Amino acid sequence: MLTAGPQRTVPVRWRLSGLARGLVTLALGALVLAVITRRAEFAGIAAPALLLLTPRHASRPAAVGVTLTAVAGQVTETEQSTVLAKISGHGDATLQVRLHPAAWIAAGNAALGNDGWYRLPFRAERWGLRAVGMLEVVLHDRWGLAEGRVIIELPPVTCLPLPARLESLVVLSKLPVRLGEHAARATGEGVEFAGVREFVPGDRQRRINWPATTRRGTLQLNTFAAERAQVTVILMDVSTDVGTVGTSTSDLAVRATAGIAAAYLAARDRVGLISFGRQLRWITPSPGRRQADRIMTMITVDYGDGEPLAAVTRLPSAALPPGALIVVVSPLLSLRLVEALRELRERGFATIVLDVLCTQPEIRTGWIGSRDRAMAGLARRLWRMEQDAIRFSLRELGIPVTTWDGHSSLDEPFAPYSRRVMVNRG
Amino acid sequence: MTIARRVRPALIVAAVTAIVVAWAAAPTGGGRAGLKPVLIAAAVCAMFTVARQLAGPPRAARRESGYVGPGAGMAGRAWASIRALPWPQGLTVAALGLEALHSSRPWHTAVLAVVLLGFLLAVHLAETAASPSVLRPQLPLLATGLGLAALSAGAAMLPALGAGSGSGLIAVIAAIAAVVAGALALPL
Repeated sequence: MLTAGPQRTVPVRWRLSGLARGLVTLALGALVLAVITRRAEFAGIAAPALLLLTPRHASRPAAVGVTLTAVAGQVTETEQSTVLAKISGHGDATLQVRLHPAAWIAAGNAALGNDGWYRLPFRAERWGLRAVGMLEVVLHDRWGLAEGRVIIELPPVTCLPLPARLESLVVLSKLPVRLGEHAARATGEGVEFAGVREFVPGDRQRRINWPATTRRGTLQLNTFAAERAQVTVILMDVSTDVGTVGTSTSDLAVRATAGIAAAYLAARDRVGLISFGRQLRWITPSPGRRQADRIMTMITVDYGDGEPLAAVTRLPSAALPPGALIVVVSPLLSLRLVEALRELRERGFATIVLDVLCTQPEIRTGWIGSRDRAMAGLARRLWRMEQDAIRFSLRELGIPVTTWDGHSSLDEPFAPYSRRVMVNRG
Repeated sequence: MTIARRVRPALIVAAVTAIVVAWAAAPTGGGRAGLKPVLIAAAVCAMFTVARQLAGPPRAARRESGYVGPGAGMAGRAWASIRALPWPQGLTVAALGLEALHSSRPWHTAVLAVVLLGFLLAVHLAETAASPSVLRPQLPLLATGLGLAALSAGAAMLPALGAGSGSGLIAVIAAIAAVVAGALALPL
């Protein structure tokens, strides 16, 4: 995260500018030719260059003061942010400020504001803890003969993934007894009409349904559905990363996870995260804004602190509470994870898999023979069949597998399961 | 840097570069042996000078990870090495060489001095993204220098005083001036 730091003094390295080097070349070249060819006009060519090179008094500061700050400490993918830089102590030297962007950072033009701060816009194009790049300050003396250079490495910035859009949620038929916003099957104190039953002493009189009472001749009462919160655990599989960087399986998995977490947290549900990456890490389900921040941080930055992947079948009940909906976001390339899903299903968890595998092995073109190409085609076909078999076996177990292409909204793959409640054994 | 901000100075440099090469080479038929290779060298230097202006400042690699093929890696290193070479200086030397390969034509050489200075200043302005107004303090010196160049061209057009004596004097003056030029550059 970039913070407004104190002014620091950075030494300037001065050297001949491109113009000075060109003038020296012109003068020396012309003079050498004048000697060799014995032609006076070549000596004349050297005259203006020599005069322009004549050293005159110009302030060349040995060091300049640099103050850095940033408009935002955290950015989201494709969101524009700005680094502010103030350069002081450069005297009458002219300044040229440039941002040399690091990988996956797009830099804009530096602009000097009226307040004396240089604004360097940049855009992080991929999630993660990103190095912004190097700030280069080029100073030219008044005569353009000397060039000073200062290079400062900018601190990294946390770039959050762009959450995939999700509006319609998958809701289980049996929800834990926690106050929430989903209408449950059980009757309670909600606002959604559930039915009519006979009045019993102790019922609230304001809920009497008078038309039904008139029809049946006995006091009838309106009943309402209870409103419960769902516990959703997202299992994000980033253990394998295939495909083009930027739209790889990991990219799709983190964007989908961010979108699902944001949507369920917005519905005041309790959301947990299990990250199946280099190691196994988890956050126990909880509602609220702080939980959203915790989840986004875990998605974005992998500090390498966790359990071995084999522990996926031995997760504590705090991480996987009974009755939770488990949304697995995975390319299903890890057989260990597939086995864990089978085990979870056997333990009675309602599980839904969002398949983010949208790529397949490429067959190299160019310098390979037709026989090799045919073999590669066959290998790819076998791989595809194996993938189909994995998905088929999961469906046979009662785990729905739905595919997301990374471009559309998540409502599309979840539509068959969000239209009605998903039955769970609970 | 936006394309428009990079292309406009590059187009000016390209125009001045073309004038330098054309002026130094003209007439192509009237030169001595060896004119052709020097002309080719000048054209190559001109091409890379303009290409470097169009490419803008060097950028970081886009991909942070992943295998980069040997061809792509070599091409990247070759481009980085090529753009680091002093192409404007190369063009200056090549233009002077082209002029030297022609027979003596003092006024043509004086105009070449103006064009070469214009070329160096255009490259400087393009590289520093500065406006021409930054050159205002240097105008008196520039005018004096060009006046001296015109004087030397005029002197070269006068009939020779005597065999050997004038050319020897030029050689001595040029050698002293070369030492002065070197000394001017050294403190920096």
